[in-house]
Amino acid sequence: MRILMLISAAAAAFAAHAPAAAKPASSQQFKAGTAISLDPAKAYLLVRSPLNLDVKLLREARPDEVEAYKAERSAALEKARSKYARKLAGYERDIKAWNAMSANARAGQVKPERPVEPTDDNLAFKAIESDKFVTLWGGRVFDKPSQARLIAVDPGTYRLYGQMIEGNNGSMLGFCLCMGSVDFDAAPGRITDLGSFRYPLAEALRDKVKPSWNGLTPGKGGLTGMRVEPMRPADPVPASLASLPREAAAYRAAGKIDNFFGVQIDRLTALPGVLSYRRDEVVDERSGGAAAAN
Amino acid sequence: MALPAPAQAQKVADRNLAPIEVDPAKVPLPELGFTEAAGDRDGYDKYFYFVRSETDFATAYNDIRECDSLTRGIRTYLNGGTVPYPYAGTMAGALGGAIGSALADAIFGSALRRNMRRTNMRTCMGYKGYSRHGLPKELWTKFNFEEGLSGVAEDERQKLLQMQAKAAIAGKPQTEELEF
Repeated sequence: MRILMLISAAAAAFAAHAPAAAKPASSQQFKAGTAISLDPAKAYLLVRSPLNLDVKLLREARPDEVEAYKAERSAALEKARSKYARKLAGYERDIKAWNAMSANARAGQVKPERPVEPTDDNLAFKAIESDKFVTLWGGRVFDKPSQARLIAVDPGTYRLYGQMIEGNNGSMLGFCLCMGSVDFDAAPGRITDLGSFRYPLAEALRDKVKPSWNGLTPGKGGLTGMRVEPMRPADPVPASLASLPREAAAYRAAGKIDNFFGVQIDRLTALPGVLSYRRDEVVDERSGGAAAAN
Repeated sequence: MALPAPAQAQKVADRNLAPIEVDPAKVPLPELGFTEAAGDRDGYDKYFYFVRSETDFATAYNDIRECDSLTRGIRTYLNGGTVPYPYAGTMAGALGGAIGSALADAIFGSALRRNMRRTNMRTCMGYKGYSRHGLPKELWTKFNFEEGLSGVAEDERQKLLQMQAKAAIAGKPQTEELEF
């Protein structure tokens, strides 16, 4: 029942408030051998990885999208209030009748319940992030020699959200980098080179060795389920992209974020010069300060 | 690439959890002393509690609440003040996460959900610098809960989390510190 209620509530929220102005994140991931010409309205992300694991990126809402979201939410609240007014009138009618009933007449009847007034605090409404996720499919390799994936996305700021597999029934299995990660800007009309995504624990499992990297070990040793190797000049680049404008992603520390998919929680392995941790506090290595929660 | 504005870089991760005022003196300290019996260690993957020295009750309680909230998939953090998220402590604010959890419940079953909660609490509290210590099941069940297909009522949940916070500040036990 709880599941059905949640799904119904969600479906209602999404359907009833289908955004007119909101722009869901869009993406196109290229298969091997696809001829690429850069669309100036799109940003292109290139990343290498030794494992075919799916990764979720989360695009930060632009100011115009934030405004559109607020307007949508206000409209939803207004609609909920109108609905509440009708329910309240019905309740007042019913409770009056209930109060006039004798104890015998009430037997077997359910006392009318006063409806809950919708407020800004209790309104059930989608999160602004709900349509800003992009999936980078691990299995869709653009260039086998370099193990590169290439995806076109809306320009903007993206957070490396986590590694997770989405079932065809909406289920999700994997982990989010909810307790610390990185973000980067994806500029239009060019390729942002994300370097390599590595999975120390999964790679060690594949190689049948104890996980370790650069002196780090799992748990209190600082090694986590995912790490990033920023682009190095020697990194292999697919031949078909060699002449196209490409620049290394400038990673920044990204603070904590919610576990939207209810998966396992983790954080990105510290990235020297960019991201570190003081206990669970996410530290922006460039400023030495705490990174803001998203 | 432009550097973030200094003000943003210094902004601290705020939690979106409504404050719950608690008088620590009124929270019972759970029984933590025991003599290890044969077989107890087999249960330490499931039955454990967290400890951190030089930590006060309010800090420990907030830490446990944050980890509990994060693993439940509800709104835990503020969004830099750009978007209203007044959903403190409710499922309604994180429909995506709630749906994900509910579907996972239906598909993967309660055992996986319980296991995920244990793993998430270990991870989250571990990152916060707490150590983990085992308990016999009968002591553990007096101030903990498992969460699979069925949830725990909010009032009861908070009472148990408060007891866990009390245990967390009770001092480092003689028992062995378990792996992260």
